[in-house]
Amino acid sequence: MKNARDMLVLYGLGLAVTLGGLVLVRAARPDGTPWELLLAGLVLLGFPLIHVVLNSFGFRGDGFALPVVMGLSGLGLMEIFRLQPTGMVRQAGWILLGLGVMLLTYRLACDPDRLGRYRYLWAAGATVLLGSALLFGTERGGARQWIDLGAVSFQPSEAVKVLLVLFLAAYLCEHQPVLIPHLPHDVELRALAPLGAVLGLSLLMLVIQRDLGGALLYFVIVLVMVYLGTGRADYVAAGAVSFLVGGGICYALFPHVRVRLDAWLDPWRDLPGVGYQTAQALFALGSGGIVGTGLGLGHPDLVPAAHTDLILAAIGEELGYVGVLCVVVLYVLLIGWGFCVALRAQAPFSRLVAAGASTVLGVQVVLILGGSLRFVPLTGITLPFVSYGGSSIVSNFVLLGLLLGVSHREEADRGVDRGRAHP
Amino acid sequence: MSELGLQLLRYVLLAFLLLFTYRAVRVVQDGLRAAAAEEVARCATLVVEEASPELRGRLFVVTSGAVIGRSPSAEVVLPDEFTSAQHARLVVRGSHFWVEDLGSKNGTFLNGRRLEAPAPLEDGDQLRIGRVTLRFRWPK
Repeated sequence: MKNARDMLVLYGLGLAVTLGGLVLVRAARPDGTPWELLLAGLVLLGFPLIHVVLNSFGFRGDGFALPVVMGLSGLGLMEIFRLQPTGMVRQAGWILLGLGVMLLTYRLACDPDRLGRYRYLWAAGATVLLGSALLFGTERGGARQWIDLGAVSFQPSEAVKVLLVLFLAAYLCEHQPVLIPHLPHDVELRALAPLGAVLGLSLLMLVIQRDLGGALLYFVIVLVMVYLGTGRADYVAAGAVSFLVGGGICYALFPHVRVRLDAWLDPWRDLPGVGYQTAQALFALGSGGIVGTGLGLGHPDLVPAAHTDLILAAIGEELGYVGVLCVVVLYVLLIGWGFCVALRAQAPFSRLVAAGASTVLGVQVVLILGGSLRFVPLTGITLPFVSYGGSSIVSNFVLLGLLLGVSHREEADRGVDRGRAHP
Repeated sequence: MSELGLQLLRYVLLAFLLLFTYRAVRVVQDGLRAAAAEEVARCATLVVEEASPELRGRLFVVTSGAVIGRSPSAEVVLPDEFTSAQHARLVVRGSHFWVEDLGSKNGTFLNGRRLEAPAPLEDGDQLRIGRVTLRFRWPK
């Protein structure tokens, strides 16, 4: 358990940064009402509040991620307030909902056996969700991945990434003895078939839905978790080869894949068209310099999707290199914390769930930070906890809840063991 | 608020953001140090190899700060005339146990060599204190 004073200092600093940022945004654009600032402050107070609630539930794990996520959410709130003042109120609501769902997930994850028992329910749920997006989905930005529920719309692919982690962890644990040793090929293939089926099905749906970021994310999750569960590099090599082949086929067949890759390789060739988004992001980052233009003083509104996927460009323009550096370091700490939780866990299922949840967070961060900086092709993925978007916020909080649950369960079990050894 | 005040607030904001990140890094660093110390402290033992018959074969579990000496208040009590009351001490620094002599009359010997300054210990090292020979056990 971390020092309570350190946590208090982090919460205080995170709150101060966010409120200062919101005041600056309001000073530069004096529309909106003061109660919006109050609302953001109250929502962020939810993080320490949840920490207190967890402790009163007898939480024994490591809650370090909570203030870090609060800092990231605060950065997101101030940039969203700056870009879309009305969106900030909704985002604050999503964060509140996310915190509540995180608490529920935490309670469930404290009993990992129950989570593992429903593995085929998770797989079926993922399939149904993706299928419903395909049948009833509405198209936005070239990707058909939204389900409209009247007032709010919902992105099933965000929920699927959580279900995928749970299913893979449970399935790999169950079949570990079959998958690890080198067995006759028919036995091995039979054990691998459900994995391949889930993977193929989700990828097929994503290709039809044109959600490239999601497809890439799922693919990496499956490869990493199969490797973590079995320790067999040949599965990963086979997956990587099939990825390259599949990527090549997609490049040849689908114009939207070609567009993304061309915009990455040379955004300047078709600046007003294909390369526009990538180029605007780079312009925004470039004009920010070391310390940025100051909140509310840049023009990040020129970047398409600046408040969702490309929020890093907005942060880079107005808070500069310093701001981007802080974001990257905070993610490194968060994901490192997740893998520490995984390493400390003794039960194979808990270990895989924690490692898988950390991988999902990490891959999202790498894909969208890399995409914003033209390090990898830009794909439609949100920056966890920072980007605007209800489905993304809630599902990432679910991952956080899983990690907190594993952490608590692990430390509680250790405490029992220690008590037995030295009565 | 005046323009100057706002400009000042912009820099203060960046400073606070950096401070927040720095504090978070420090928390992780402290946690890793504590975990390393815990790992080290968990399983180090001293086994008595050569001594008077009633002491021979005894095993002492040691943690950081353990004092070896004749005094009954020491963590590792060696009832031997050639051992000082507070003879030597084991402390965890970084990822190792270190042994330091506490100004003893007859000196502390690590693998047969007299200790001049604190030295790190490895699994299997031999310590001689007075007429007692101890084996340091610290399986990784």
